[in-house]
Parts: sequence; structure tokens; C-alpha cells
Amino acid sequence: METNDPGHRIYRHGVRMDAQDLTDELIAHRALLDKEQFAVLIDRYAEKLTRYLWRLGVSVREDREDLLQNAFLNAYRNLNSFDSTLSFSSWIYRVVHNEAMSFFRRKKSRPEVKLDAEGESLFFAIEDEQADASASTELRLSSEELSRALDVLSEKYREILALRFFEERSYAEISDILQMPIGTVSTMIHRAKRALRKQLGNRLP
Amino acid sequence: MTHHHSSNKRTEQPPTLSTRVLAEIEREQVVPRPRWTYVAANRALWVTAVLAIAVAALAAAATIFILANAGWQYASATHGTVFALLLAVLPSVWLVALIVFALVGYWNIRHTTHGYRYPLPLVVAGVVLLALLSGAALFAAGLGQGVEEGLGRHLPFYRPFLDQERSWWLDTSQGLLVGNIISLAPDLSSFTLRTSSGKVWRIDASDLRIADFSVLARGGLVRVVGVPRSATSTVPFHACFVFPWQIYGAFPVPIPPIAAFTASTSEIISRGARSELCRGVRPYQSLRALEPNE
Repeated sequence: METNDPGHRIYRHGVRMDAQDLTDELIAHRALLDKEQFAVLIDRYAEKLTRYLWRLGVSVREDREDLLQNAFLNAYRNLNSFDSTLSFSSWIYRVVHNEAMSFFRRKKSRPEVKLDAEGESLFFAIEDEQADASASTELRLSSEELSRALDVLSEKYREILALRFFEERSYAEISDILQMPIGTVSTMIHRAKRALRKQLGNRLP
Repeated sequence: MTHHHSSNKRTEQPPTLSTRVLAEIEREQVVPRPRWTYVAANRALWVTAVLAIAVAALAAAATIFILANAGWQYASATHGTVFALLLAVLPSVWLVALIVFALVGYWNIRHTTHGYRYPLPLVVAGVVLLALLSGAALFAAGLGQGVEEGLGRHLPFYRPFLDQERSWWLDTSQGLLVGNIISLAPDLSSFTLRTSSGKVWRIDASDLRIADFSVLARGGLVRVVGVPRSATSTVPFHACFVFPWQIYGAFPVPIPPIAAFTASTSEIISRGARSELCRGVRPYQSLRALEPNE
């Protein structure tokens, strides 16, 4: 027997469990019965997704807040479409990604890649397919340098690089977020890295 | 007092995202859409995909029927070259239907819950292959002609293939004739044939060989390649070759002899050649190659 209370606590067979201890997927399932549970998921993802929106190029804070609020409302409305074979994380990233793309279409603006200014520099690993397979180049770049290089890339390349290297998503997760086959994700990352490498040509050793 | 101040400070904090979202859910009375709507939508996509592939399979069956009955071995007589015949028989309506419905099938599969995971070439090749194999199965079951004629009748500007082919063979000025055998003269000098328009033709059979007579003896619909004579002649058509009008509605479909395509279109006088009259028949050697050795 399980009951809930508004403080995100769940009682299972009389034993108190914090919702914080449960998996996202289980909480998503429970949120169908108790919307208060949904707040746990929002709290878990708000910061990550705000950062993701920033990286996608939603630079105005109010826009990010509105977008995220709409995304979570849509997510709640469509919570029954959440497929438990996916991770909740991939699903919510997909919802936010789609929301952001609609936002850019409405605004008819080309998103500009933003990187956290707080880090004075970023490491970026770019495999060198021309050289020895084991060789990968780790570049220490300033966020401006990388932002400039990423801005030149096409939208699909920037998106996929952001997910892979800044959000640190696996190929399978990116496949679920962008809704494309894993093989295509792999090819696109490869091409995006090659394009970025070309942009950063004069910075490579 | 201090406690009061800190309490005020707390209430001045802007509401968190979760608070705002929950308030909005409450205010707009947002409820999750029922699961069955997603399940139904997903199933509808699959059902539409299956239906689209089924229609593509029908188109494939009609295509196979047309290609099986195009009369490739007679291309030299009816169209001059195999390429010209190919252009004439190209079942564009069915090929377009096959492609369009295969694409509809692909689109629907792509939009199912996990559709995005399947690689594009795999889905496209899978859908097309499935449509072709199902089409071949329908043809093997003898449904190709029914589909081609039955569905074709409902398409504007579409003429069933066999009607079209019959019209190619009802062109006596080009030495082509098709019709049902009515009678064969006892001395095998002539035979009569009725075309689909009801016209009866008396045909000179003096140049025919055993293979031709065996076709005439079987009766039914035959195709005749020959030479038109003057309208005043008692026998207005001189037959050089007679071939059965066979409809291939299922497998196996015989493959015509290579010689039917490779023989020179220039006439060669050779052993067993027919009269001077028949040597003018387009391409004599190719047509001879279709007959069994005498």
C-alpha cells in the first residue's frame, strides 16, 4: 500500500521514502496520480535544462523561463506518452528541445551558441580521423573561441555537439532526444567534429 | 521580531519553477491526456503503414502482371525494339502508386513511437521489398490480372493492359492481327479469324509451318504476323507466323529465347525460309527464333 504527501514523500508499506530516492521514471509514473510528484522532476531538471536552453541559444532569461514552464506544462499534459523504455531524462530533453526549436521558428531567428562564461577555458576533445586512430586532440579553448567556431557550424551540428560534449549525453540518449537512428547520430557527430576541426584549424597543434 | 523579518524574506523569494508550473496546472486544470489516445495514435500509424504497404503490393502485382505479359519476344514486330516496347508498357501509374504508398508506409513507420530508431535505408528498403514480395505473392496467387483490370477500371484515363496490347495487334497495315480462330481449311491453305470488333478475316496459310498449324489447331485467341494484301483480294491477309495469345496470370512466366532479341532486324535468307512475301516481314529472323525447330 502506498500513499503520498505534499512534501514529495511516499509511504510504501508504511515505510517512509523520500521521492528524492526514487528514479525519474517511477516518479513520472506516480505523477500521473499525484501532480505534486511532478514538482520533484521539475526541481531535478530545472537547472540542467535552463543551462541546455542557454547553450541552444535562448539568451534572454525571461524567454528561458517561459520556455521551460511551457515545456514542463506540455510534458505534464503528455505524461502518458512517456515511453518507459526511454529514460525520463532523454524524454524531457526531447520535449525541451522541441519547445526551443518551435521558439526559434516563431522568432525566425538563428540560435547563437552560448557557452558558460564562468569557466575561463574549456577542454574539447576532437578525434583526428586523418591521423592515427588512437590520437585525439584535446584543445584548451576559451569559451569565446569555441563559441565563435560553433556559431559558424550549421544548426544541426551545433545541436548535436552541444548534447554530446556539453550535456554529455550518450549516442543512444541523443538518438532519443533528436529522434534519429544511432547510426545517424554517430555520423553527424563525426561530421560535426570534422567541421569544427576545420573551423579551429589554426588552433590545432 | 527577527523571526518575523526572516519569514518576510522567505515570502519575498520569487516562486520556483516547480511552484509556478504546479500553479499553472492547477489554474488551467491541466490533466494528462489519457494513455489510450497515444496507444490509438501509434496503432493508427501502424495500421496506415500496413494498408499503404498493402496498396503498394497491389501496385506491384499489377506491375508484375504487365511486365509478364508485355510480349517482349514480339517487341521487334510490335515496336521495333525492346526499348520502344519498354517505354510503351512502362506501368507508370502502378510504379507511381508503388512509390507513393511505399513512402506513405515509410512515413507512418517513421512516426511510430520507436520509428525514429530505424535507419532510413533499412525502412525504405524493407517497405519496398515487402511491397514487392507481397506483390509477387499476389501475382503467384493469380491475382495480378484482377488487380490490374479491376483497379485500373476505376482509374481515370487508364486502359487495362491487355486491351492496350490487343490494340497493338489489331493493326493489319503493320502486318499484325489478333483474333479467335473460327475455322481452318481442310487443305490447310487458309483459315478464318474473328477480331474483337467482330470482323472476320480470311487468311492465307500457305506460308505457315507445322509449329504455326499446331497453334491454329489448338484454337482460341492467336496473334498473326503477316503481310496485308489488297482489299480486293479474296484472301486479304497473308500469314507468315502464328503465335498463341497466352496470358500469364501467375508464375512461371517463360523467358523468351535470347535470339528473339539478338537476331538482326535485317532479313537473312536462310534454310527453311518462307516465301519472298514473308521475307519482308519485320524482323523475320527474330520471329523465326520464337518457333520450335522444324
